[in-house]
Amino acid sequence: MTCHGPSLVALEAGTSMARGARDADPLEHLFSGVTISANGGRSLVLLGPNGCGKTSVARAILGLASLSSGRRTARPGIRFAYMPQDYRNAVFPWLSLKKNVALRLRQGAGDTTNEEDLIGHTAHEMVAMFRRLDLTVDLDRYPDEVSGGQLQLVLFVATLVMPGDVRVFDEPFSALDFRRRAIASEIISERIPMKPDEAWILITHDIAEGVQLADDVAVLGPTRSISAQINVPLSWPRGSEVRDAPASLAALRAVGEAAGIA
Amino acid sequence: MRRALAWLITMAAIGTAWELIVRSGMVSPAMLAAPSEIATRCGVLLQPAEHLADVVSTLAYALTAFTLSVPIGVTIGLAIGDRGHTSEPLAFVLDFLRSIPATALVPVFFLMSGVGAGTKLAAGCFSSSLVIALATVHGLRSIPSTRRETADLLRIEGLQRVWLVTLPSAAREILLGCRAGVSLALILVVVAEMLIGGNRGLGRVIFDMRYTDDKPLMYAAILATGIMGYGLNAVVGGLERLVIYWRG
Repeated sequence: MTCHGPSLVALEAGTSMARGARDADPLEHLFSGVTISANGGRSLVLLGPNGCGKTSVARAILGLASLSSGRRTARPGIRFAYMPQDYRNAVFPWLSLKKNVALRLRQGAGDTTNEEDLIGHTAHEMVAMFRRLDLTVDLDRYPDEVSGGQLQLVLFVATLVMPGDVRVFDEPFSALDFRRRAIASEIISERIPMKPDEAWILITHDIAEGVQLADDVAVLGPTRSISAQINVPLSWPRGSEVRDAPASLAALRAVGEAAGIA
Repeated sequence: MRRALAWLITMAAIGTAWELIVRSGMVSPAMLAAPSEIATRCGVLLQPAEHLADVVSTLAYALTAFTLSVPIGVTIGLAIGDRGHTSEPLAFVLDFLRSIPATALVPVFFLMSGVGAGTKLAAGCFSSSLVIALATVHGLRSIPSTRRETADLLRIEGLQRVWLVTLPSAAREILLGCRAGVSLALILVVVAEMLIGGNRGLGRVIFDMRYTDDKPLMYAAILATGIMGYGLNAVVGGLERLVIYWRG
Protein backbone atom coordinates (compact mmCIF):
# COMPACT_ATOMS: atom_id res chain seq x y z
CA MET A 1 0.00 0.00 0.00
CA THR A 2 1.21 3.49 -0.81
CA CYS A 3 1.54 5.96 1.98
CA HIS A 4 -0.24 9.30 1.92
CA GLY A 5 1.92 12.00 0.45
CA PRO A 6 1.23 15.71 0.89
CA SER A 7 -1.65 17.28 -0.98
CA LEU A 8 -0.41 18.69 -4.28
CA VAL A 9 -3.67 20.23 -5.38
CA ALA A 10 -7.09 20.18 -3.78
CA LEU A 11 -10.60 21.51 -3.95
CA GLU A 12 -11.57 22.46 -0.42
CA ALA A 13 -14.60 23.47 1.62
CA GLY A 14 -17.17 21.98 -0.67
CA THR A 15 -16.21 23.60 -3.93
CA SER A 16 -18.89 24.36 -6.49
CA MET A 17 -18.79 25.53 -10.06
CA ALA A 18 -21.67 27.12 -11.92
CA ARG A 19 -22.43 27.28 -15.59
CA GLY A 20 -22.03 30.99 -16.25
CA ALA A 21 -23.25 33.34 -13.49
CA ARG A 22 -21.75 32.99 -10.02
CA ASP A 23 -24.98 32.59 -8.06
CA ALA A 24 -26.84 30.67 -10.69
CA ASP A 25 -29.67 28.23 -10.13
CA PRO A 26 -28.37 25.21 -8.16
CA LEU A 27 -29.52 23.02 -11.05
CA GLU A 28 -27.12 24.90 -13.23
CA HIS A 29 -24.18 23.67 -11.19
CA LEU A 30 -21.53 21.79 -13.09
CA PHE A 31 -20.74 20.25 -9.71
CA SER A 32 -21.32 21.25 -6.12
CA GLY A 33 -19.99 20.53 -2.64
CA VAL A 34 -16.90 18.71 -3.89
CA THR A 35 -14.00 18.26 -1.47
CA ILE A 36 -11.17 16.38 -3.05
CA SER A 37 -7.40 16.21 -2.93
CA ALA A 38 -4.68 14.81 -5.16
CA ASN A 39 -1.95 13.52 -2.87
CA GLY A 40 1.65 12.73 -3.65
CA GLY A 41 2.32 9.14 -4.69
CA ARG A 42 -1.36 8.36 -5.03
CA SER A 43 -3.78 7.85 -7.81
CA LEU A 44 -7.21 9.41 -7.61
CA VAL A 45 -9.90 8.13 -9.93
CA LEU A 46 -13.02 10.15 -10.65
CA LEU A 47 -15.82 7.82 -11.56
CA GLY A 48 -19.34 8.60 -12.57
CA PRO A 49 -21.98 8.45 -15.26
CA ASN A 50 -22.07 10.77 -18.27
CA GLY A 51 -22.82 14.39 -17.47
CA CYS A 52 -22.10 14.16 -13.74
CA GLY A 53 -19.36 16.80 -13.88
CA LYS A 54 -16.17 14.73 -13.99
CA THR A 55 -14.49 16.89 -16.60
CA SER A 56 -15.57 20.07 -14.80
CA VAL A 57 -13.99 18.81 -11.57
CA ALA A 58 -10.79 18.11 -13.48
CA ARG A 59 -10.82 21.57 -15.05
CA ALA A 60 -11.35 23.10 -11.61
CA ILE A 61 -8.40 21.14 -10.23
CA LEU A 62 -6.27 22.30 -13.16
CA GLY A 63 -7.27 25.88 -12.41
CA LEU A 64 -8.80 26.35 -15.85
CA ALA A 65 -12.23 27.42 -14.65
CA SER A 66 -13.42 29.87 -12.01
CA LEU A 67 -15.22 28.49 -8.97
CA SER A 68 -18.54 29.80 -7.70
CA SER A 69 -17.79 28.75 -4.12
CA GLY A 70 -15.15 26.87 -2.20
CA ARG A 71 -11.44 27.09 -2.74
CA ARG A 72 -8.67 25.56 -4.79
CA THR A 73 -5.30 25.15 -3.15
CA ALA A 74 -2.24 24.12 -5.09
CA ARG A 75 1.39 23.75 -4.20
CA PRO A 76 3.20 26.80 -5.56
CA GLY A 77 4.77 26.23 -8.97
CA ILE A 78 2.88 23.03 -9.52
CA ARG A 79 2.93 21.70 -13.08
CA PHE A 80 0.25 19.66 -14.74
CA ALA A 81 0.45 17.08 -17.47
CA TYR A 82 -3.07 17.02 -18.85
CA MET A 83 -4.68 14.86 -21.45
CA PRO A 84 -8.15 16.25 -22.12
CA GLN A 85 -11.07 14.18 -23.29
CA ASP A 86 -11.28 16.36 -26.39
CA TYR A 87 -7.88 15.12 -27.54
CA ARG A 88 -8.28 16.31 -31.15
CA ASN A 89 -8.20 19.90 -29.91
CA ALA A 90 -5.31 19.20 -27.54
CA VAL A 91 -2.97 19.08 -30.51
CA PHE A 92 -2.23 21.83 -32.98
CA PRO A 93 -3.22 20.51 -36.41
CA TRP A 94 -0.61 22.67 -38.19
CA LEU A 95 2.25 21.08 -36.28
CA SER A 96 3.53 17.56 -36.89
CA LEU A 97 2.97 14.96 -34.19
CA LYS A 98 6.65 15.28 -33.35
CA LYS A 99 6.37 19.04 -32.78
CA ASN A 100 3.20 18.56 -30.74
CA VAL A 101 4.98 16.02 -28.55
CA ALA A 102 8.07 18.22 -28.27
CA LEU A 103 5.95 21.16 -27.02
CA ARG A 104 4.83 18.93 -24.15
CA LEU A 105 8.36 17.92 -23.30
CA ARG A 106 9.62 21.46 -22.71
CA GLN A 107 10.52 22.23 -19.12
CA GLY A 108 8.78 25.60 -19.23
CA ALA A 109 8.06 28.65 -21.34
CA GLY A 110 11.73 29.61 -21.44
CA ASP A 111 12.92 26.21 -22.60
CA THR A 112 14.37 26.67 -26.09
CA THR A 113 15.80 23.19 -26.51
CA ASN A 114 15.17 22.09 -30.08
CA GLU A 115 12.58 19.42 -30.72
CA GLU A 116 15.03 16.69 -31.72
CA ASP A 117 16.83 17.02 -28.37
CA LEU A 118 13.58 17.22 -26.44
CA ILE A 119 12.33 14.06 -28.13
CA GLY A 120 15.78 12.49 -27.88
CA HIS A 121 15.79 12.54 -24.08
CA THR A 122 12.64 10.49 -23.84
CA ALA A 123 12.77 8.72 -27.19
CA HIS A 124 13.79 5.43 -25.62
CA GLU A 125 10.95 5.46 -23.17
CA MET A 126 8.40 6.50 -25.76
CA VAL A 127 9.51 4.00 -28.37
CA ALA A 128 9.31 1.21 -25.79
CA MET A 129 5.74 2.20 -24.97
CA PHE A 130 4.77 2.55 -28.62
CA ARG A 131 6.09 -0.97 -29.18
CA ARG A 132 4.15 -2.37 -26.26
CA LEU A 133 1.02 -0.68 -27.50
CA ASP A 134 1.72 -2.07 -30.97
CA LEU A 135 1.59 1.44 -32.37
CA THR A 136 3.32 2.18 -35.64
CA VAL A 137 2.94 5.83 -36.49
CA ASP A 138 5.13 8.25 -38.36
CA LEU A 139 5.65 11.19 -36.01
CA ASP A 140 6.37 13.47 -38.97
CA ARG A 141 2.72 13.22 -39.95
CA TYR A 142 0.09 15.80 -39.03
CA PRO A 143 -2.57 15.02 -36.41
CA ASP A 144 -5.39 14.89 -38.94
CA GLU A 145 -3.52 12.34 -41.02
CA VAL A 146 -3.68 9.66 -38.33
CA SER A 147 -6.66 7.84 -36.85
CA GLY A 148 -8.33 8.89 -33.60
CA GLY A 149 -6.92 5.87 -31.80
CA GLN A 150 -3.37 6.54 -33.01
CA LEU A 151 -3.59 10.19 -32.01
CA GLN A 152 -4.94 9.28 -28.59
CA LEU A 153 -2.09 6.82 -28.02
CA VAL A 154 0.57 9.35 -29.07
CA LEU A 155 -0.94 11.92 -26.73
CA PHE A 156 -1.25 9.34 -23.97
CA VAL A 157 2.42 8.41 -24.18
CA ALA A 158 3.48 12.08 -24.42
CA THR A 159 1.42 12.93 -21.33
CA LEU A 160 3.07 10.06 -19.46
CA VAL A 161 6.62 11.22 -20.19
CA MET A 162 6.18 15.02 -20.11
CA PRO A 163 7.31 16.97 -17.04
CA GLY A 164 4.53 17.41 -14.49
CA ASP A 165 3.71 16.96 -10.83
CA VAL A 166 0.10 16.01 -11.36
CA ARG A 167 -0.94 13.92 -14.35
CA VAL A 168 -4.56 14.27 -15.30
CA PHE A 169 -6.07 11.88 -17.84
CA ASP A 170 -9.66 12.50 -18.89
CA GLU A 171 -11.08 9.37 -20.57
CA PRO A 172 -7.68 8.60 -22.10
CA PHE A 173 -8.76 5.31 -23.67
CA SER A 174 -12.02 6.35 -25.32
CA ALA A 175 -10.80 5.67 -28.87
CA LEU A 176 -8.76 2.55 -28.08
CA ASP A 177 -9.59 -1.04 -28.89
CA PHE A 178 -10.06 -3.53 -26.07
CA ARG A 179 -6.54 -4.96 -26.19
CA ARG A 180 -4.74 -1.60 -26.24
CA ARG A 181 -6.99 -0.37 -23.44
CA ALA A 182 -5.73 -3.19 -21.25
CA ILE A 183 -2.09 -2.54 -22.15
CA ALA A 184 -2.46 1.20 -21.56
CA SER A 185 -4.00 0.58 -18.11
CA GLU A 186 -1.12 -1.73 -17.33
CA ILE A 187 1.41 0.93 -18.34
CA ILE A 188 -0.28 3.49 -16.10
CA SER A 189 -0.37 1.07 -13.20
CA GLU A 190 3.38 0.50 -13.52
CA ARG A 191 4.12 4.22 -13.40
CA ILE A 192 1.79 5.30 -10.61
CA PRO A 193 3.95 4.43 -7.58
CA MET A 194 7.19 5.60 -9.15
CA LYS A 195 7.45 9.04 -7.62
CA PRO A 196 6.04 9.99 -4.21
CA ASP A 197 5.90 13.67 -5.17
CA GLU A 198 3.71 12.99 -8.17
CA ALA A 199 -0.05 12.59 -8.12
CA TRP A 200 -2.36 11.01 -10.65
CA ILE A 201 -5.92 11.84 -11.52
CA LEU A 202 -7.84 9.60 -13.86
CA ILE A 203 -11.32 10.09 -15.15
CA THR A 204 -13.35 7.19 -16.41
CA HIS A 205 -16.85 5.81 -16.45
CA ASP A 206 -15.59 2.22 -16.55
CA ILE A 207 -15.87 1.04 -12.94
CA ALA A 208 -13.56 -1.98 -13.27
CA GLU A 209 -10.89 0.08 -14.98
CA GLY A 210 -11.29 2.83 -12.38
CA VAL A 211 -10.85 0.48 -9.45
CA GLN A 212 -7.84 -1.17 -11.08
CA LEU A 213 -6.03 2.15 -11.41
CA ALA A 214 -7.05 3.86 -8.14
CA ASP A 215 -5.70 4.29 -4.67
CA ASP A 216 -8.79 6.36 -4.03
CA VAL A 217 -12.00 6.39 -6.00
CA ALA A 218 -14.27 9.42 -5.84
CA VAL A 219 -17.72 8.64 -7.14
CA LEU A 220 -19.59 11.54 -8.67
CA GLY A 221 -23.29 10.95 -8.65
CA PRO A 222 -26.03 12.29 -10.87
CA THR A 223 -26.51 15.11 -8.35
CA ARG A 224 -23.07 16.31 -9.43
CA SER A 225 -21.53 15.95 -6.01
CA ILE A 226 -19.32 13.24 -4.56
CA SER A 227 -21.44 10.38 -3.26
CA ALA A 228 -18.56 8.28 -1.92
CA GLN A 229 -14.79 8.11 -1.55
CA ILE A 230 -13.50 4.58 -1.55
CA ASN A 231 -10.00 3.35 -0.79
CA VAL A 232 -8.53 0.49 -2.86
CA PRO A 233 -5.86 -1.23 -0.72
CA LEU A 234 -3.92 -3.06 -3.44
CA SER A 235 -0.24 -2.92 -4.31
CA TRP A 236 1.17 -1.62 -7.59
CA PRO A 237 1.62 -2.48 -10.39
CA ARG A 238 -1.74 -3.98 -11.17
CA GLY A 239 -2.47 -5.99 -14.26
CA SER A 240 -6.03 -6.77 -15.29
CA GLU A 241 -5.83 -9.91 -13.09
CA VAL A 242 -6.21 -7.76 -9.94
CA ARG A 243 -9.78 -7.15 -11.02
CA ASP A 244 -10.61 -10.53 -9.47
CA ALA A 245 -8.80 -9.89 -6.16
CA PRO A 246 -11.06 -9.71 -3.07
CA ALA A 247 -10.03 -6.12 -2.35
CA SER A 248 -10.98 -5.17 -5.90
CA LEU A 249 -14.30 -6.89 -5.67
CA ALA A 250 -15.06 -5.21 -2.36
CA ALA A 251 -14.16 -1.83 -3.83
CA LEU A 252 -16.20 -2.58 -6.95
CA ARG A 253 -19.21 -3.39 -4.79
CA ALA A 254 -18.80 -0.21 -2.77
CA VAL A 255 -18.41 1.90 -5.89
CA GLY A 256 -21.38 0.21 -7.50
CA GLU A 257 -23.51 0.95 -4.48
CA ALA A 258 -22.39 4.56 -4.36
CA ALA A 259 -23.10 4.95 -8.04
CA GLY A 260 -26.49 3.32 -7.53
CA ILE A 261 -25.84 0.43 -9.91
CA ALA A 262 -25.41 -2.54 -7.58
CA MET B 1 -15.71 18.34 -73.19
CA ARG B 2 -19.29 18.86 -72.06
CA ARG B 3 -18.03 21.40 -69.58
CA ALA B 4 -16.21 23.36 -72.30
CA LEU B 5 -19.33 23.25 -74.44
CA ALA B 6 -21.46 24.58 -71.60
CA TRP B 7 -19.04 27.46 -71.13
CA LEU B 8 -18.90 28.23 -74.83
CA ILE B 9 -22.66 28.19 -75.30
CA THR B 10 -23.35 30.33 -72.22
CA MET B 11 -20.78 32.97 -73.12
CA ALA B 12 -21.80 33.04 -76.77
CA ALA B 13 -25.47 33.38 -75.84
CA ILE B 14 -24.81 36.30 -73.47
CA GLY B 15 -22.59 38.03 -76.04
CA THR B 16 -25.06 37.56 -78.88
CA ALA B 17 -28.01 38.75 -76.82
CA TRP B 18 -26.08 41.82 -75.70
CA GLU B 19 -24.93 42.54 -79.27
CA LEU B 20 -28.50 42.21 -80.60
CA ILE B 21 -29.97 44.47 -77.92
CA VAL B 22 -27.55 47.28 -78.85
CA ARG B 23 -27.71 46.75 -82.65
CA SER B 24 -31.50 46.61 -82.72
CA GLY B 25 -31.64 50.05 -81.12
CA MET B 26 -33.55 48.85 -78.06
CA VAL B 27 -30.95 50.65 -75.97
CA SER B 28 -29.37 53.91 -77.07
CA PRO B 29 -25.70 53.58 -78.11
CA ALA B 30 -25.09 56.60 -75.88
CA MET B 31 -25.78 54.33 -72.95
CA LEU B 32 -24.55 50.89 -73.88
CA ALA B 33 -21.83 49.76 -76.27
CA ALA B 34 -21.96 46.48 -78.18
CA PRO B 35 -19.46 43.76 -77.20
CA SER B 36 -17.89 43.85 -80.67
CA GLU B 37 -17.15 47.57 -80.29
CA ILE B 38 -15.85 47.11 -76.74
CA ALA B 39 -13.51 44.38 -77.97
CA THR B 40 -11.95 46.74 -80.50
CA ARG B 41 -11.22 49.28 -77.73
CA CYS B 42 -9.80 46.80 -75.25
CA GLY B 43 -6.44 46.87 -76.97
CA VAL B 44 -6.15 50.59 -76.19
CA LEU B 45 -5.96 49.75 -72.49
CA LEU B 46 -2.81 47.75 -73.08
CA GLN B 47 -0.99 50.28 -75.27
CA PRO B 48 1.74 52.19 -73.41
CA ALA B 49 1.01 55.37 -75.39
CA GLU B 50 -2.68 55.21 -74.45
CA HIS B 51 -4.17 53.81 -71.26
CA LEU B 52 -1.76 51.15 -70.03
CA ALA B 53 -0.59 53.54 -67.31
CA ASP B 54 -4.18 53.78 -66.04
CA VAL B 55 -4.51 50.03 -65.79
CA VAL B 56 -1.16 49.69 -64.04
CA SER B 57 -1.96 52.59 -61.69
CA THR B 58 -5.27 51.11 -60.54
CA LEU B 59 -3.78 47.67 -60.06
CA ALA B 60 -0.75 49.02 -58.21
CA TYR B 61 -2.82 51.19 -55.85
CA ALA B 62 -5.29 48.41 -55.11
CA LEU B 63 -2.49 45.94 -54.43
CA THR B 64 -0.52 48.39 -52.29
CA ALA B 65 -3.57 49.38 -50.27
CA PHE B 66 -4.45 45.72 -49.73
CA THR B 67 -0.90 44.67 -48.86
CA LEU B 68 -0.65 47.44 -46.27
CA SER B 69 -4.03 46.51 -44.84
CA VAL B 70 -3.10 42.89 -44.06
CA PRO B 71 -0.61 43.55 -41.24
CA ILE B 72 -2.66 46.54 -40.04
CA GLY B 73 -5.92 44.58 -39.94
CA VAL B 74 -4.41 41.49 -38.34
CA THR B 75 -2.62 43.58 -35.70
CA ILE B 76 -5.81 45.47 -34.82
CA GLY B 77 -7.70 42.18 -34.68
CA LEU B 78 -5.12 40.59 -32.41
CA ALA B 79 -5.06 43.67 -30.17
CA ILE B 80 -8.82 43.66 -29.74
CA GLY B 81 -8.69 39.90 -29.52
CA ASP B 82 -11.01 37.84 -27.49
CA ARG B 83 -10.83 39.34 -24.02
CA GLY B 84 -14.48 38.89 -23.15
CA HIS B 85 -16.22 42.02 -21.95
CA THR B 86 -13.34 44.40 -22.57
CA SER B 87 -13.11 43.62 -26.27
CA GLU B 88 -16.86 43.81 -26.86
CA PRO B 89 -17.13 47.60 -27.26
CA LEU B 90 -14.01 47.70 -29.40
CA ALA B 91 -15.34 44.97 -31.66
CA PHE B 92 -18.58 46.95 -31.90
CA VAL B 93 -16.72 50.10 -32.97
CA LEU B 94 -14.93 48.05 -35.61
CA ASP B 95 -18.18 46.55 -36.82
CA PHE B 96 -19.83 49.96 -36.92
CA LEU B 97 -17.00 51.58 -38.86
CA ARG B 98 -17.14 48.73 -41.32
CA SER B 99 -20.90 49.24 -41.68
CA ILE B 100 -20.39 52.77 -42.99
CA PRO B 101 -20.21 52.41 -46.77
CA ALA B 102 -16.55 53.22 -47.14
CA THR B 103 -17.31 55.19 -50.31
CA ALA B 104 -19.11 57.70 -48.09
CA LEU B 105 -15.80 58.35 -46.38
CA VAL B 106 -13.84 59.08 -49.53
CA PRO B 107 -14.47 62.86 -49.18
CA VAL B 108 -13.09 62.63 -45.65
CA PHE B 109 -9.91 60.96 -46.87
CA PHE B 110 -9.82 63.60 -49.56
CA LEU B 111 -9.81 66.31 -46.88
CA MET B 112 -7.15 64.56 -44.86
CA SER B 113 -4.83 63.29 -47.53
CA GLY B 114 -5.31 65.75 -50.38
CA VAL B 115 -5.81 65.02 -54.04
CA GLY B 116 -2.83 62.74 -54.49
CA ALA B 117 -2.00 59.12 -54.01
CA GLY B 118 -2.65 59.39 -50.28
CA THR B 119 -6.41 59.43 -50.61
CA LYS B 120 -6.51 56.38 -52.85
CA LEU B 121 -4.26 54.40 -50.53
CA ALA B 122 -5.98 55.58 -47.37
CA ALA B 123 -9.47 54.76 -48.66
CA GLY B 124 -8.50 51.32 -49.96
CA CYS B 125 -6.41 50.47 -46.94
CA PHE B 126 -9.03 51.70 -44.45
CA SER B 127 -11.88 49.52 -45.64
CA SER B 128 -9.71 46.49 -46.27
CA SER B 129 -8.07 46.74 -42.81
CA LEU B 130 -11.47 46.86 -41.15
CA VAL B 131 -12.78 43.64 -42.68
CA ILE B 132 -9.49 41.88 -42.03
CA ALA B 133 -9.50 43.08 -38.41
CA LEU B 134 -13.06 41.88 -37.92
CA ALA B 135 -12.28 38.54 -39.54
CA THR B 136 -9.30 38.18 -37.20
CA VAL B 137 -11.48 38.87 -34.15
CA HIS B 138 -13.98 36.26 -35.35
CA GLY B 139 -11.14 33.84 -35.93
CA LEU B 140 -9.88 34.33 -32.38
CA ARG B 141 -13.34 33.75 -30.98
CA SER B 142 -13.64 30.47 -32.83
CA ILE B 143 -10.59 28.91 -31.15
CA PRO B 144 -11.77 25.79 -29.30
CA SER B 145 -11.44 26.19 -25.53
CA THR B 146 -9.45 22.96 -25.24
CA ARG B 147 -6.86 24.36 -27.63
CA ARG B 148 -6.61 27.58 -25.64
CA GLU B 149 -6.30 25.68 -22.36
CA THR B 150 -3.70 23.36 -23.83
CA ALA B 151 -1.62 26.39 -24.79
CA ASP B 152 -2.09 27.79 -21.27
CA LEU B 153 -1.01 24.59 -19.55
CA LEU B 154 1.96 24.12 -21.90
CA ARG B 155 2.92 27.70 -21.05
CA ILE B 156 3.08 28.80 -24.66
CA GLU B 157 3.24 32.55 -24.20
CA GLY B 158 3.98 35.88 -25.82
CA LEU B 159 5.02 36.04 -29.45
CA GLN B 160 5.50 32.31 -29.61
CA ARG B 161 1.83 31.90 -28.74
CA VAL B 162 0.77 34.33 -31.44
CA TRP B 163 2.87 32.57 -34.05
CA LEU B 164 2.29 28.98 -32.92
CA VAL B 165 -1.31 29.02 -31.74
CA THR B 166 -3.28 32.20 -32.36
CA LEU B 167 -2.50 33.02 -35.99
CA PRO B 168 -2.83 29.47 -37.34
CA SER B 169 -6.10 29.06 -35.42
CA ALA B 170 -7.53 32.17 -37.03
CA ALA B 171 -5.85 31.66 -40.42
CA ARG B 172 -8.96 30.50 -42.26
CA GLU B 173 -11.02 33.48 -41.10
CA ILE B 174 -8.18 35.92 -41.73
CA LEU B 175 -7.82 34.68 -45.31
CA LEU B 176 -11.56 34.98 -45.81
CA GLY B 177 -11.24 38.57 -44.58
CA CYS B 178 -8.40 39.10 -47.04
CA ARG B 179 -10.60 38.02 -49.95
CA ALA B 180 -13.23 40.54 -48.95
CA GLY B 181 -10.50 43.09 -48.25
CA VAL B 182 -8.83 42.91 -51.65
CA SER B 183 -12.19 43.44 -53.40
CA LEU B 184 -12.94 46.41 -51.16
CA ALA B 185 -9.51 47.91 -51.75
CA LEU B 186 -10.11 47.83 -55.51
CA ILE B 187 -13.58 49.35 -55.18
CA LEU B 188 -12.28 52.20 -53.05
CA VAL B 189 -9.32 52.91 -55.32
CA VAL B 190 -11.61 53.09 -58.38
CA VAL B 191 -14.10 55.37 -56.61
CA ALA B 192 -11.30 57.64 -55.38
CA GLU B 193 -9.94 57.86 -58.92
CA MET B 194 -13.35 59.01 -60.12
CA LEU B 195 -13.67 61.71 -57.49
CA ILE B 196 -10.15 63.08 -57.73
CA GLY B 197 -9.60 65.11 -60.90
CA GLY B 198 -6.43 65.24 -63.01
CA ASN B 199 -5.42 61.77 -62.09
CA ARG B 200 -4.67 58.42 -63.64
CA GLY B 201 -6.51 55.17 -63.21
CA LEU B 202 -9.34 53.13 -64.65
CA GLY B 203 -11.85 54.99 -62.49
CA ARG B 204 -10.69 58.20 -64.14
CA VAL B 205 -11.04 56.67 -67.62
CA ILE B 206 -14.56 55.45 -66.87
CA PHE B 207 -15.57 58.82 -65.42
CA ASP B 208 -14.04 60.88 -68.25
CA MET B 209 -15.69 58.80 -70.95
CA ARG B 210 -19.21 59.18 -69.57
CA TYR B 211 -20.09 62.30 -71.59
CA THR B 212 -18.07 61.40 -74.69
CA ASP B 213 -18.96 59.24 -77.65
CA ASP B 214 -16.33 56.73 -76.71
CA LYS B 215 -18.67 54.45 -74.75
CA PRO B 216 -16.82 51.34 -75.97
CA LEU B 217 -13.70 52.55 -74.15
CA MET B 218 -15.73 53.26 -71.01
CA TYR B 219 -17.10 49.72 -71.06
CA ALA B 220 -13.69 48.29 -71.87
CA ALA B 221 -12.37 50.01 -68.74
CA ILE B 222 -15.29 48.72 -66.68
CA LEU B 223 -14.59 45.24 -68.00
CA ALA B 224 -10.94 45.66 -67.02
CA THR B 225 -11.86 46.52 -63.41
CA GLY B 226 -14.02 43.41 -63.36
CA ILE B 227 -11.21 41.21 -64.60
CA MET B 228 -8.91 42.83 -62.05
CA GLY B 229 -11.35 42.24 -59.20
CA TYR B 230 -11.91 38.64 -60.21
CA GLY B 231 -8.19 38.02 -60.62
CA LEU B 232 -7.20 39.57 -57.29
CA ASN B 233 -9.86 37.56 -55.51
CA ALA B 234 -8.71 34.37 -57.19
CA VAL B 235 -5.08 35.02 -56.26
CA VAL B 236 -5.91 35.63 -52.60
CA GLY B 237 -8.17 32.58 -52.66
CA GLY B 238 -5.28 30.57 -54.04
CA LEU B 239 -3.11 31.77 -51.17
CA GLU B 240 -5.43 29.92 -48.82
CA ARG B 241 -4.39 26.58 -50.29
CA LEU B 242 -0.77 27.67 -50.03
CA VAL B 243 -0.89 28.99 -46.47
CA ILE B 244 -3.17 26.38 -44.90
CA TYR B 245 -1.26 23.17 -45.53
CA TRP B 246 -2.97 21.22 -42.77
CA ARG B 247 -6.40 19.68 -42.58
CA GLY B 248 -8.85 20.00 -39.73
